[in-house]
Amino acid sequence: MSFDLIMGTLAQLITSPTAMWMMILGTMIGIFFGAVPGLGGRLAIAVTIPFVFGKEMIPGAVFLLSMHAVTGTAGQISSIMFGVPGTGDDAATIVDGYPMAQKGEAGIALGASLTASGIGGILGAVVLAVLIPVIEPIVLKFSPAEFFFLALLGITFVAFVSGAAIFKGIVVGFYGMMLAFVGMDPQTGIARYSEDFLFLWDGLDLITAVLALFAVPEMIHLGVKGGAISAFSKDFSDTGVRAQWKGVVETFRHMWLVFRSSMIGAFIGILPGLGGSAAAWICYGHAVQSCKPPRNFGRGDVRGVIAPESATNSKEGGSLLPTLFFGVPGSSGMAILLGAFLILGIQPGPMMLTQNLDLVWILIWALVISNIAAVVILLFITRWVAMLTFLRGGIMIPFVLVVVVFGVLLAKGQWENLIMLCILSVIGYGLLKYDWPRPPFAIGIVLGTIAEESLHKAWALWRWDFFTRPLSVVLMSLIFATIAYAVYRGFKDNQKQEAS
Amino acid sequence: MSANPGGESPTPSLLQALCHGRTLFTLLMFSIFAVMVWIATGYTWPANFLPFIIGIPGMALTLMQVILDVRSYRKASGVIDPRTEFERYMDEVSARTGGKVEMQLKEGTKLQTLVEDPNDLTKSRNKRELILFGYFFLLVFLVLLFGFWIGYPIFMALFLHYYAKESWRLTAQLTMGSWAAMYIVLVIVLEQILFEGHVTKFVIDNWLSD
Repeated sequence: MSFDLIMGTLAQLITSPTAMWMMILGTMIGIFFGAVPGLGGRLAIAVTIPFVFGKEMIPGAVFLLSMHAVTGTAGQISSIMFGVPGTGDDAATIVDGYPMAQKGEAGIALGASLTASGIGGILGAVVLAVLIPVIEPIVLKFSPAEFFFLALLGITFVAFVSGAAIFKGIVVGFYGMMLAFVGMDPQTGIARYSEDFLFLWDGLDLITAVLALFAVPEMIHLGVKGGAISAFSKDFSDTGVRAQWKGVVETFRHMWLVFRSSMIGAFIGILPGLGGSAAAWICYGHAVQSCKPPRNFGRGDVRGVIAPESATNSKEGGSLLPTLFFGVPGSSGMAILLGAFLILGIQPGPMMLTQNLDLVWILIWALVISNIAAVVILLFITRWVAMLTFLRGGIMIPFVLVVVVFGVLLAKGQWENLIMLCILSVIGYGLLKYDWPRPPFAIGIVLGTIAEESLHKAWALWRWDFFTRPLSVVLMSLIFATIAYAVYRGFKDNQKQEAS
Repeated sequence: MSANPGGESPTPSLLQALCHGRTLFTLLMFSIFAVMVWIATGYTWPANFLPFIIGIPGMALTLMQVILDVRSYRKASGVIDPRTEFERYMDEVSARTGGKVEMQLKEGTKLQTLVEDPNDLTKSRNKRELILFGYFFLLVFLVLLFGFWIGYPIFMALFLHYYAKESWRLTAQLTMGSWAAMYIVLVIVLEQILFEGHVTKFVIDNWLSD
């Protein structure tokens, strides 16, 4: 890895009008999806994948990553000003951000959170960059056998950490994998689960599946919950640039806290499945425990805003690491992003280091630049972006549903996929309604094909010996240990419940 | 939280627990795996290998989940944790920091962590789900019959006026405005051709073509 590569990729990005335009567009769309409560980054990627389908690899990837990276930056606005989080990731910001707004310090809170988000995002990208040479020798040791087990480990791990019900998580991951087997089997030429349905011979359309599992259920859920927060005052007088500047200064006064929270966030991002909510709340707890006096927290302490916001954005850089190099997404958003990368022709794994390292650096730079751009843009337009919070669900829902249907038609131009969309949406909503974690589904369907290819390659190379390769044994042990610990934890929780 | 306060509500029967939506959904997941594994028995090696490797444990896990669902439903007698995710996290942070965090808000302020529309709460949750799915299926149906550019505005107008309760004026503005914007961007600028709908295609092919 040379200095020329690092600076060359930066030059490549900023001198490409298409890539820069896509990055700015992605940033603006990300701000929109982040600012409207109930939308969020995951939905943003799901509904925009069809629009990058068939586009060039670099502008498409930069667009999606920039959009995903900045949704957290915009999501905090409604948390601070109205106590309504854009998504779960922004909830921790409410605890001190909303009391600050009630004291007339909304501008300071917004300035601090925007700056902390921006710095967090940049530090997350730095962590990713620093860790590339560290993980390179590990990634290059992985063979098809290990990639098969990594897919299973990814599902198990994400299922384990994404909620109390690990069985549900694994089942959803397996369900995703089963759907990935739909279509022509590359080994035998048998049309699996597709019979005479020609549109299924190429496999179940990934875009349709992702939209059905993530976009449609979110919209139905938003409609069921309702979406009006018009009871709040629309007085934004204390959110001017001057007030926000004070918040920027406050962030730099607590730079050590920003740094610590960003590091924690980035490393939480590396662990598949923990996600933004956990990163934000863990860093909030860390701030309470490490900052003096702790009694100010909950009463409008700016450090209670800085810590979770730094973590929320820094985790994106961290979660790119397992996503790009191991094909195991660090979060549900990253799982969908991984699917989009595959559609764009980006194959995760060792090739990212050997053949596509320039792309990795472009993505790192895109993370850095889009975070800076989002902060600069939002510092000036916060009060107008805050108005988006008042967009009612009743108006948003039909537009998003139309975009979903449009996306399905655009992706492959097959009307039959609309029928699949309806069927899978019902299942997707069931998963959401009955607390089945959906992130493992994205991993299952994305990794199912890769896992099967890896399995066949490994089988051809080593037959039964592929189970006894040292790295395979380590990965299998991790899978069994994760499941065993989850069963043990479930048993203990059950005992506790019965005792109480 | 007491699962059965005062012992007033009796423990549900096994049949009641099995017919609960949560359990029924788990059974649906089981049946998906079962059907896929059964279909895979008709494939030759190695096409059936991974469907078996993944599908059979999937069946076993969903069956275990059915048992867990039934047990938890009967134990809780249908009562679920009323705390929001935010409240659960707050409880956890407070517990881990020795109860140092207590959120202080202005008197009379209610924290609105869930976005709720009071007008919508009058309808039952299930009814709203059905209505929303009905609208979604209507959109798909209209697009399948008449194509995207005809189905979309009809759906939009119906949804905005009858579900979102917007005035006809705003409904017309939003529908026509968004339709025009999408048409200009997608058809005129990006030259995208979308599915024209079975009925529209039939009409064009049989009645309008020379």
